[in-house]
Amino acid sequence: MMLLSRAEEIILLAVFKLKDNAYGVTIKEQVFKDIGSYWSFGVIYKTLKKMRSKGFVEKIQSEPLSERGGRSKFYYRITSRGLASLEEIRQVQASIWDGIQKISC
Amino acid sequence: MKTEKMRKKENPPFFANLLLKLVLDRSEYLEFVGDIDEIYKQMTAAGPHWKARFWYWLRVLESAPAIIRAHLWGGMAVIGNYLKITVRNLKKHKVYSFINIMGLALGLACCLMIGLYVQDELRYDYFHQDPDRIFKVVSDLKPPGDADVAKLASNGWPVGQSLKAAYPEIEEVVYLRKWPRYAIKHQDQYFFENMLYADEAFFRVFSFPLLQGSSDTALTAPYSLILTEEMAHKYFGEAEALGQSLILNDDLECQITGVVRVPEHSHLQFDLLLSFATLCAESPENCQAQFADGWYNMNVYNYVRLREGVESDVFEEKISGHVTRSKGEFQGYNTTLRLQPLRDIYLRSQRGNGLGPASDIGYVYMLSAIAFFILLIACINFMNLTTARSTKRAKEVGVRKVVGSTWGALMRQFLHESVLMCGLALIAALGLLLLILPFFNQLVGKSIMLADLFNVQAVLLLLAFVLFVGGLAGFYPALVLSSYGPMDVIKNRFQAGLKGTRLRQGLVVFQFAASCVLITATIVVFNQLKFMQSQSLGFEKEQVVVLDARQADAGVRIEKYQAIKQELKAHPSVQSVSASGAVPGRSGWRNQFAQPEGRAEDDGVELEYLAADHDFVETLGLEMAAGRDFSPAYATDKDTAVLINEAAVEHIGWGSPQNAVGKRLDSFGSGKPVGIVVGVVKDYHHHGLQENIGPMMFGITPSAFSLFAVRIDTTDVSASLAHLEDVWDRFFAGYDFRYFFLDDDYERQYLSEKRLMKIFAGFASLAVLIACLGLFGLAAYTAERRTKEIGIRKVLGASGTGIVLLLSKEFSRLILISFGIALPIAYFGLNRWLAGFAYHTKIHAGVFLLTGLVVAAGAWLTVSYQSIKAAGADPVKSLRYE
Repeated sequence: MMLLSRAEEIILLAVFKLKDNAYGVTIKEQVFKDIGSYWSFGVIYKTLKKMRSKGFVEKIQSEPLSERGGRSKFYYRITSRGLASLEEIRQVQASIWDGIQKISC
Repeated sequence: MKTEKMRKKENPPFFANLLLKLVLDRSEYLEFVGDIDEIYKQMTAAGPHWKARFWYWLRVLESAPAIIRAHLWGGMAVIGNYLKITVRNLKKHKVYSFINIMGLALGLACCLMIGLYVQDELRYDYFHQDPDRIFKVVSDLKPPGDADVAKLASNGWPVGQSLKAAYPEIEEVVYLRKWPRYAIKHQDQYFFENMLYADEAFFRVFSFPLLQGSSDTALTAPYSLILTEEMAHKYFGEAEALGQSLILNDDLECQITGVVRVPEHSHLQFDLLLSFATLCAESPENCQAQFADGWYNMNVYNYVRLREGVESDVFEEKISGHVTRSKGEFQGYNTTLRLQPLRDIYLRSQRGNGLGPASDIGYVYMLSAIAFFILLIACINFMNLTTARSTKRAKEVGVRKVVGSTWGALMRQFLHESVLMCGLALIAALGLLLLILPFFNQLVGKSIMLADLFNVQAVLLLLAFVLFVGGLAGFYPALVLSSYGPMDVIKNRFQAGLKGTRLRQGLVVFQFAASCVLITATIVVFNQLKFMQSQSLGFEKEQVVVLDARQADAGVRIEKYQAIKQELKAHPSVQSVSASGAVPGRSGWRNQFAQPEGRAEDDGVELEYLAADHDFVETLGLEMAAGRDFSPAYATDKDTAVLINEAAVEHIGWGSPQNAVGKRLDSFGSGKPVGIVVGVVKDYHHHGLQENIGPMMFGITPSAFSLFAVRIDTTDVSASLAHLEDVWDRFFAGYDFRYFFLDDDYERQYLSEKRLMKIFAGFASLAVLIACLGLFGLAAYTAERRTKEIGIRKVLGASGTGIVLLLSKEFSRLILISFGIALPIAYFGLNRWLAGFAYHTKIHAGVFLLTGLVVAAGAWLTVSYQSIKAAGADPVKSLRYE
């Protein structure tokens, strides 16, 4: 299986952590919390779209909400395949860093 | 309650929103806008609106790279589909596509051509270093009395040197002097080149690339000569020019100390530079005297380079009175100095250049405006035609909508299409340009190449243009079409908006009015030209050959002019020969001061003095109004006799020509300190018909004789010419045989009118073409809209002709209105132009009739194609089409 890219990993983890409240705005904030920089919406949607086509996340349209002026929210939820790929990347991470204590020349 | 305005402020930025709507598909758009609005709302509640709006824009724009990348992946297939549909559409409506693309291409080609011209004009003098510090010192010469100030490009001799001595702000001063009348003798031939005297500061101020030689010393020593590349090649071929020498005027040997390149886009043009020291070495006394006191001998040109940081305005003010302070008035004349920035000399001089070509920034502005208008009209036509035709595709749009196409997707499709069409138009325009450029170059006297267009800026500009115009032209039809509900379109229930019709009609009226004005102008200029050419001039201009000895050996032509005349006359085909300083069509000495008998010393008259010999009147076929012609029988004629024309009699106030004979008319400056009028010549048009016949005076002045007018028999012109050349070679061995025919030469004065006519004719045909395109679009649109009406009319028994008339009526009205608008504009404008001619035609009704005919014919041809098609259509089909 293809490994997740860094951007996919970060966003997928954000979706995972947000559980039922993962949509554009919250994902953007979660990413900021995790890595300390704001990503543009464009990058976030693009990455999510790609992962959706791979079946790692699913997109759920909510009922129209009054707080959004009658518009829906589009929630994302991680699938079992998504979870598996997260688990996989964690193992890869661990094995490639195995035995390295400190980076120095 | 919140006001409308406040609520508007709270909405997210409209265009940012629109942008998203255009590029994203529907669900993506909703998601993006939903998320972004959520934060936006919080921000507007918490802080200032502008901050929130700014934030909104920032979020949209920062997402652009990601969105574009995402689209490129998935978008290729879609774009491929758009392309396929576009090509199918182009193929399906070949005529329409061709007309539409060519219309835009024509406008574009015209605009590009003008753009190239303007770019070429603006390119002058950009190769110099420190251009902002280089100035030309020029003089405003105020004559005595209340005469107008003469704006000269030159200065008196001491000006440059004394300026440099007096003002530390000046770093360098260059001296230039025009026209050393030297012939270059090379392999027993004499050549005349454009020569300038220049002093050694020349290369310190200007950045003409010196290919050979040292810029420090090349112009220092007397008898140093610098050649341009072309001259070096002309005289020495492939051999090294540096260190060789050339002989000027038989005995002046000059060392070649450098070879220089003169860029085409330089206001300073020359073939050879001769060191200024040469001038002073040749006549040291004169040089000294001029530098000491030649304040009003204004035939040198000065350029200065100011030190860094000197404010040119302030400095100009400081030196403006320099001449008055140093020298004071001279015979009532007074000089004010001015500074002219280097890069303004070519386009913004208003006093001529003196040392090369000059143009006018006004033309640049005018042409740019014309280009802009033509392009604007072409674009609007393109848009109109596209909209008009797009209703044909309403069904396609309906089906697309039914199967789920969104507004954004439809927009994108139409935009892609029109950008593609625009790109095709650009390619066609470049092709057209390639065809037109040679003619255009000939017309404006430039050497512009298409390659000038291919620099980074221009290419980017063109691409931006294609995107912009394509976008603009596609936007409106796309907006109209994609906004219909799918059911409306499929059931053909939509109303093609009436709103646009007024605009379109207005546009057609405007275009036709412009065409009318231009056509009228072409006809009037043509008439005026014909008028000027057909008027009786008062002399016989045919059958006169003029030998031009101005550049031949001056000693020979002055000393031996009588011998030359005798030899020329020796051939049976030669009827008479006259030596003179000028022939009709060329100026004698204008503004000469003459003192008529019985007037106070300062109450003279100004007239034009013409050096002429005994046979001038006979050779040109002039008539005498009173008195006698010059005659060899009177020994005193060559010293004191003068002839005047009737206009001079009038001007002086001597009453009748008879009365004038025998009176004194002295003109010291023209070499007739004592002049006695022996005869009066009937008025003739010495100058073109732009001018009134001015007062003239004729006298025998051999020192000015440089043209030999020869009246010949036209039975065997080549034999006569052979004889003339034979005589020429006997007297002027080594000099080129130069001659012209008097009638051709006289025509030269109408060159600018001829050029104007060509330009008008060009623009008029272009305007008519573009206007017809606009009309075609409108007609197509109308015929489309009235399909059903026409069907019903036919069913009810209307004839084909009746329907053609019905459809044409509307357009005839438009043409009539535009004609009504154009008529007064053309009439007043052209009358003003004609008023500039002393002798001119009148604008009569026939001119407008002809214009109306041309325009109406064009319009009818255009409309009839559509209306005949509509009238001939099968009513059953047109009624059943829903």
